[in-house]
Amino acid sequence: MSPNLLVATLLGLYLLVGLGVAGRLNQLGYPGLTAASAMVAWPLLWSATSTAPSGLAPGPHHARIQACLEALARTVREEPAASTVVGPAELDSLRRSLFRADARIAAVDHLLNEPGLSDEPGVQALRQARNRASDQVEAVLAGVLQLRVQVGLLALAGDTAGVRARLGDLSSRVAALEELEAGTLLTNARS
Amino acid sequence: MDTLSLVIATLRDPQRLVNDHDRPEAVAVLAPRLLLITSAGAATFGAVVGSYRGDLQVAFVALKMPLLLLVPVLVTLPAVHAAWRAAEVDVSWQRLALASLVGLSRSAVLAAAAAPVLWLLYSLGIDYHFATLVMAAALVAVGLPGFFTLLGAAPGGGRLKALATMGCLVLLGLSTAQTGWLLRPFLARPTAEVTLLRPVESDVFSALYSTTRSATGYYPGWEAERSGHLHELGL
Repeated sequence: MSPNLLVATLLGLYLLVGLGVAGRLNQLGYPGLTAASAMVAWPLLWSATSTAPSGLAPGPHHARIQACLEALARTVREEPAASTVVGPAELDSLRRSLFRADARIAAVDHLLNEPGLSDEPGVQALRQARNRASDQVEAVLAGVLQLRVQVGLLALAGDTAGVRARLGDLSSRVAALEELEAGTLLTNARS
Repeated sequence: MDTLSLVIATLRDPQRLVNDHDRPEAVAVLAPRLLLITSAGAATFGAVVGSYRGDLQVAFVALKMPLLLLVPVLVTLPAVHAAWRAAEVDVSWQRLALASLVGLSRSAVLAAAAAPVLWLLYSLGIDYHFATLVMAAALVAVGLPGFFTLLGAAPGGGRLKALATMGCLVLLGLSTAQTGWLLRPFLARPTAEVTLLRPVESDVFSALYSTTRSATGYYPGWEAERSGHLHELGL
């Protein structure tokens, strides 16, 4: 095979895979420009082929949530016994709940930053509700750190029940946060 | 974030941009604009490089320069990821992809900013070999900040991280050199034909060997001028 033919074949294969990735991104609902970019640079967009766009705006805690949950996932990976207690589904659910809560805080922040809104009645209450929600997200992130410690203990003491209890506690706090936050923030925003 | 804010963010605080958008959907949404910034910046730099020869070479090099930045990253990124994983540096593919895109945009914007200086030098009528060296030096100078952006995406710790990083730098360097070789000509010798691509032949290392011999004045059967013109010697 001549060098020119080899280059042309490799280029054709690359574009073919790009076409497949672009089709998948289009199917998931990404903008047309993203799908078009995948034709040229599909390796850089490969990670998006398994996630549909959620439409959630990143909030003020986004980077911390990402970092805390990545660290938790790493700790679970490093401790084989933990993977039977904390599965990928639990981690994914925790991540999604936290991102949803964070996105709601971001939406309220956006509202509070609107010019002329500070004089409106109820803004103070909305601000307080927003701060409470933010504190609750922080508390859940602190709980994630404690869960990591518990997973570390699992390696030495084999305390599976402790990890399970901590995870259960965390899940119920996140669920409560979702219900409470959605209710309080919505009521304040409407008033 | 509009495109101008994105350009400013890639220059001022690329790490923050990477940290704030480290999720698959954000990478997918930012990618088209980051690729656009990369293409526009690199094409500007390429047009100036092509202006050394002029005519169609301006358009040809403007077309090829974005590929010179993009192709090595696309080709070596899996190896970079594997090298870091082997060195126990846990970095996700999406984070690496985003850091690469931000790094590429940063290099391209810097290349566009350096283009007027290069244009001034070329307008002074410098000889072909010096013009080539200046272009290569400019590419290294704008490429390093992009590489450091990629480097900053990796978290601290990990055994042999320094070795993996050096390996990545060498890999990217070699890949860029070979891509440049496949996409030549960029400057085009004064006597050479203006063409989009030359036929694929040999590799960059054998070419470097020949260039080293030429730089020392060894042209068997030819007499070379500093301008890059060659004259066949009569018997």
